[in-house]
Amino acid sequence: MTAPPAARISGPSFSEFDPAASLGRGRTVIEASAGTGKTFTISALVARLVALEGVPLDEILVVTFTNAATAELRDRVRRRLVATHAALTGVPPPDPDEHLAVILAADPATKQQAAARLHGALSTFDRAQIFTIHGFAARLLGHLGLRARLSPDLEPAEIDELLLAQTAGDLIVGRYAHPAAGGRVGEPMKAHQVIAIGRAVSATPDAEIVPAPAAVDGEALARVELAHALRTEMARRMRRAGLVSFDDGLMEVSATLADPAVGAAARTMLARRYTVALVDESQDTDPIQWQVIRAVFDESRLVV
Amino acid sequence: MAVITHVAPHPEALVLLLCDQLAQPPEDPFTPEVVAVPTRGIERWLTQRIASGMAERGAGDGICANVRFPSPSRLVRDVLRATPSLAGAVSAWENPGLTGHVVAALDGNLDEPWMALVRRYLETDDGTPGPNRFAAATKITRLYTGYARRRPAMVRAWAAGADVGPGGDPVGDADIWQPRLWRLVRDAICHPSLPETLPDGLDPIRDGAVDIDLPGRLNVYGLTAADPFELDVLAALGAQRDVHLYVLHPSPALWDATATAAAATPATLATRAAGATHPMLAAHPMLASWAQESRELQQVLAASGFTATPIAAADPEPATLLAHLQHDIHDNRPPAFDPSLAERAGSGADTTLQIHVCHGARRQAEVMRDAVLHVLAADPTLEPRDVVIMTPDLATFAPLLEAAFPVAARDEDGAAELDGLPDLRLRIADRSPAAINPLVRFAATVLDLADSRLEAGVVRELVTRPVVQQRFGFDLDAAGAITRVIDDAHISWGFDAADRVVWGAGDVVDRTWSRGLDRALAGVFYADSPVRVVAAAAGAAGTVPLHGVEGQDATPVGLLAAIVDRIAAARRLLATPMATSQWSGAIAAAVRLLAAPAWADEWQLGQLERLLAETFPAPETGGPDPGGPDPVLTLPEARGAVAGWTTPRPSPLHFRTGDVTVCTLVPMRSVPYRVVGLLGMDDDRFPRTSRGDGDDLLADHEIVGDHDRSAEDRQLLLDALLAAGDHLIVTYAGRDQLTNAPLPPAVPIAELADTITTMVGAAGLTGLTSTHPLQSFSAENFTTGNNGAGPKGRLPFGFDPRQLAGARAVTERRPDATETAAPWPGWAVPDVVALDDLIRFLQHPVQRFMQARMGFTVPERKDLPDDTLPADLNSLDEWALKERLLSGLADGHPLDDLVARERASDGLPPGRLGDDDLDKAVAAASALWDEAVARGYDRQAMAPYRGTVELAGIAVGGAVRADPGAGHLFRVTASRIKGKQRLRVYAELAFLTALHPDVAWQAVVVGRRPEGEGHLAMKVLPFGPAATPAAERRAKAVDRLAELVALYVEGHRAPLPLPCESAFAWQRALAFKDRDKAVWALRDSWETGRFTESRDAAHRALLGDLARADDLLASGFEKYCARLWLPVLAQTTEKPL
Repeated sequence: MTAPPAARISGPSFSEFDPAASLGRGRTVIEASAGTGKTFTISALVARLVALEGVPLDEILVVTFTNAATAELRDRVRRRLVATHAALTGVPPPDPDEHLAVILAADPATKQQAAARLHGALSTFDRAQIFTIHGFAARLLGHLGLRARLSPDLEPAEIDELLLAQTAGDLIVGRYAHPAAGGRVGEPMKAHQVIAIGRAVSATPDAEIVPAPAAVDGEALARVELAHALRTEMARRMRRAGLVSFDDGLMEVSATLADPAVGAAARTMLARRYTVALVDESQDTDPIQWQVIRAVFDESRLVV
Repeated sequence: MAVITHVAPHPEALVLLLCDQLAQPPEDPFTPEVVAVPTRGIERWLTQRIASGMAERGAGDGICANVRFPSPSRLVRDVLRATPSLAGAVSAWENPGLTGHVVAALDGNLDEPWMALVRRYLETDDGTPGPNRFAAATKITRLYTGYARRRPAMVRAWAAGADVGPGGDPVGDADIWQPRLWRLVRDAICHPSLPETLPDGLDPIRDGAVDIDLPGRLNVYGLTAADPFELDVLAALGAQRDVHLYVLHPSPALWDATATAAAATPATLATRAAGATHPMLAAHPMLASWAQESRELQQVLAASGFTATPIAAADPEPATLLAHLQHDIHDNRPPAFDPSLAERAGSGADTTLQIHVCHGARRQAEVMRDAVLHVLAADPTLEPRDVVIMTPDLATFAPLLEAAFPVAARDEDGAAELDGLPDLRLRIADRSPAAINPLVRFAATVLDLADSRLEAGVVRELVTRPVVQQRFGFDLDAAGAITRVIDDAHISWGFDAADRVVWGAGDVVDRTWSRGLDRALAGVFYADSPVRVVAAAAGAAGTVPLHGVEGQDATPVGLLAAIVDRIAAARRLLATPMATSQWSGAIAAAVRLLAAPAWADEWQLGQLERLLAETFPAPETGGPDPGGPDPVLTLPEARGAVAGWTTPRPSPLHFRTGDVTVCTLVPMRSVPYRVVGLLGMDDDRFPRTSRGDGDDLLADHEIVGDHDRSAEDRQLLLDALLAAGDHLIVTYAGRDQLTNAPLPPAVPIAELADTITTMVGAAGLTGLTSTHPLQSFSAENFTTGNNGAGPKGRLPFGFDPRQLAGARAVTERRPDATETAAPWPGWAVPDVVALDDLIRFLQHPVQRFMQARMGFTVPERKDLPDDTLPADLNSLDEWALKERLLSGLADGHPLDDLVARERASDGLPPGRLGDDDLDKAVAAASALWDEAVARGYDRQAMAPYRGTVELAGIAVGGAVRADPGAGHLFRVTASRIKGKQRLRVYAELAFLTALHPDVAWQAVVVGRRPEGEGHLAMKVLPFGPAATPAAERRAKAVDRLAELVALYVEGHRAPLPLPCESAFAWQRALAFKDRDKAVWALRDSWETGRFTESRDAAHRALLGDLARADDLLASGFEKYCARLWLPVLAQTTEKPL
């Protein structure tokens, strides 16, 4: 993975994270190693945003990086909302913490309003926008509708090894089996070499294939040409089967947001939909994932 | 004459009212009663309830007849069609042909600047039409239909030329195409839409000016999410006749509170975000969270002017937790802690609410079965018909339930072996056409075949399908034979070379269907030959007849040829784009080419044709616009259109048959059952969340009453909860099957658990929650304890006797390795041993033991064919190629002929890719061949020697080929010469010498060295030189043969620790008198090295406890090695070439 862009660690509050402070605008990076309670912090922040700032639950985006983490986080956030609501309606919290203290310190009218907001959030909890990055991309594709060119009905799937082997076999045969008279195609490449190229280009669909075919010859040319052919042919075969790779969705969202014709409208539309984003495990984000999140949340609040 | 609304919390109360109505006969007794019902399941229940309700009040004799049960939308549609002022708009706008108009409007106007966004979606980068057109048109049609129903005012504004959104403000730039495209569609249809017609269009109905074929009394039962538009029509109908609306509402108390609060607010539908449905009035959390649809329905009814006083819940004093919960909801009372309930729940005495935490879907199905069996066992008044199992994901759970309830899979007349399980039958009510009709599935397959690569695997799978077997008249055995032809002919994919080009594989005919079939058909007529190539013209490679076909039954080859021919015909039928209505016939014809239903299943064809006609409608023939558009669809578009065949469709016949009913949550919603099971309430299955559609203009302007998937699912759950009479059983996947990590339940189930906790405390919740083990054969499943049924597990939970047997087998003490295993039963020594048997025994004693004594073989690991065009040859194929060449040379064929055949027989990578491999193989085979010839190999001079050698009490029979002139038996092989080859020629030599001791026979093997590159010549010296008297030589050979047979006999009495290659390696190393080196060699061969003989399946099974070299040595291995190998090694010499 490429190193995360340095620009990430910026914003007004690159300092010790103070849970008692009010949640400001701009990007906040919480640096924490595993097991130090990031999940806890995120669920506490969601509860505060809903209770005190009146942000509707479906405008808070939470992105994690595995399905398991997403399921856990959904459960944790819901429990947190339940516990906060209970604390506001008179049930003493079993183990109060700083985030809860902020809410409980509010004046009675605010607390009553907060309880009502939490009650509302809990009764529509499945609208909570807690996703993996790829789940988020699929959701964005839905939101974008015809603005994005990928139908959200296509099923995201892993790159299939058999498909890769078949495609590689076909392309090798097509290239080397009957070279045109006088054409020089060089020594045939081995299947495992071509499969390795295929795996590489499908794992990083956003990567540019270098060098340009015009600049090289011999085996280097063969590798470049096969890389391009594999990328096109694999995508075509997956699309034919009604599948897209997980990254295709992200790529399409990214391309749409950057498109000169529809990008601006799409960005406005998505920015209207989400007020705050909380991104867990951002060290695992690769550039394209980061680009998508940035494009949607340029001006709004983002906690990483 | 009015609309009368009845509201009650329980369906029974509504049915009583309905029966009251029906008990008063209409003026004309032949007029059918009309009762609109939302689902087929409710229709079935109502029929039964009306029949018994009439009998109870003496107004009938328990028969419900002459009652029509249309769906509300069908009722409304019929009314509109009967109204002249509206019929035109309905037939022009509310029919499948609307999509055709949208497609036509899209196609004709892509160049308009305001269509830029849509155009970008529909076209690929190079400006050619992409695959999205039909799907986009379908979606746009759906949006337009929704707008017309839900926001008629916006559509009227569009018709008047205003580009506005649902709020009345101008629509954004990105969506400007929507009103404009709509107007183009309207221009093409040439008829005003329903919203334009409606405001005044209902007047004739109101005034009674139209003759509508409806009785003077209409009943609409079970309105849930009412469409304001439908309510308008019902209100208009109410002007001339009585329209009774029967509305279920979970809480009369909440209805009253809302009605009071709403009285102060105007009766218009507010946007949903404004919280117009007073969620704060819902004091019970289930009503707040689950009853959005009911709350909104009240608002929608009020906005249409329908109000009612709900019938109070007639609940008896609640005794159980479930009843308390339902009571609280009916009365809109917040849940409260109840110590006596808590005590009963905590002790497991109250089983009315059960939550089962399982691993994955399969276990949920089993747990649901056992939980249902427990409640049936505990209460003799309960019958299977009192049980309904509902699941949000029927497609996943239907087959699992069929597996868990073994009887369910059988049809009604198959009486039943019960497999030891109590007889509990299931009736799965709503399944998709694709799930129940193999021809419908086949139609999808055939559409898929039409532009596929036509991989061999596809046809291999096709011939296993009964519908295909019925079409061509063959059985599963023949299917196996057809598959073997496909494999033997090396067919991988592609119809012919032209087909290959499409997929980037160049103009290559190797391993295509056309080449493979040519070979197979030629093989029928030509005897096997290593060099035959037929029809080889100048420049053409010709056809190599397939081996092993001639003289056999030609049926499999003929069938395969016929099937592939039909596939080609089907592809021709479907390949080109055609008008929508033509697809229906083309698909039906393609299906008929390849598939046929069994004679008792002719309905399958009828259903397929109906589905096709529905999916690919012919242009409207009647109405104001006969002949409408019939847009051209491409193959991928047609494929997209049939995707909906996998969605479940209910059939009324399958509900309430007396068996346990299984369905999704919709069809039986709120129908009372004594036991309600909720299966698969997993976080990722329930509730459905709306994906959010950025093209839906209404998405940001939702108003009360708009459809909301997750709210609908929650309402369904509430209906199920309230419909349960005695028990509510919930299962969910609470543990990951692979990692055992805890998984949260579906959010609504967590909410339910929270409410239960409030009522009975955490201990109470624990008491009614069971956490099940991963495996159904776990001992925990069959012991009393926390998971058992009844008060704190008085009874074991599991019911399945097979799983009980499994649990016993797992827990019972098994003898460990130190105990002496029972001796193998005796073995009757045969009179004659075949030489070949003897040799194969020596080459792998344990495998032969397994085969001969235990009656099974471990198949060799064979990779499944992956239908990939090979780019290089694997080592096994390379070896086989060399062996074929050697064998051809030995038969006296010229090398060039052999090479030409190899090139034409598809065994090699295609074209130039195979050149290197072939060159290498030819070089290696020729070198071996030359070495062999130089040592006197002459196959022509070989003669067969057959006979039987009598030993003490046992004889060895067989045949050996040898060259009497040269006095040797000779083998040439592409294999490495190791233990196996030595033992073979040694045994053959002993046999030959015993038969013909006059000659001092020796044996020669030419092959590859055991390690590394290069060749080796190995020689087994005679059993005594030429000068030795024949009798002495014979005596020695017989003696050695007897020793081999003795090992054979011992090795059939018990598995012999004498693995061939390890024994050879050991004994050979020991020859250098260095035991350490020998141990090292043994370890390398048996325990750790590249081939690790101990990992062989037979060795693992029978010598598993000797997997370490030291253990092997301690097992008597040394003694056996010495017996077998010392004489062999003493008699062999070898020379690297």
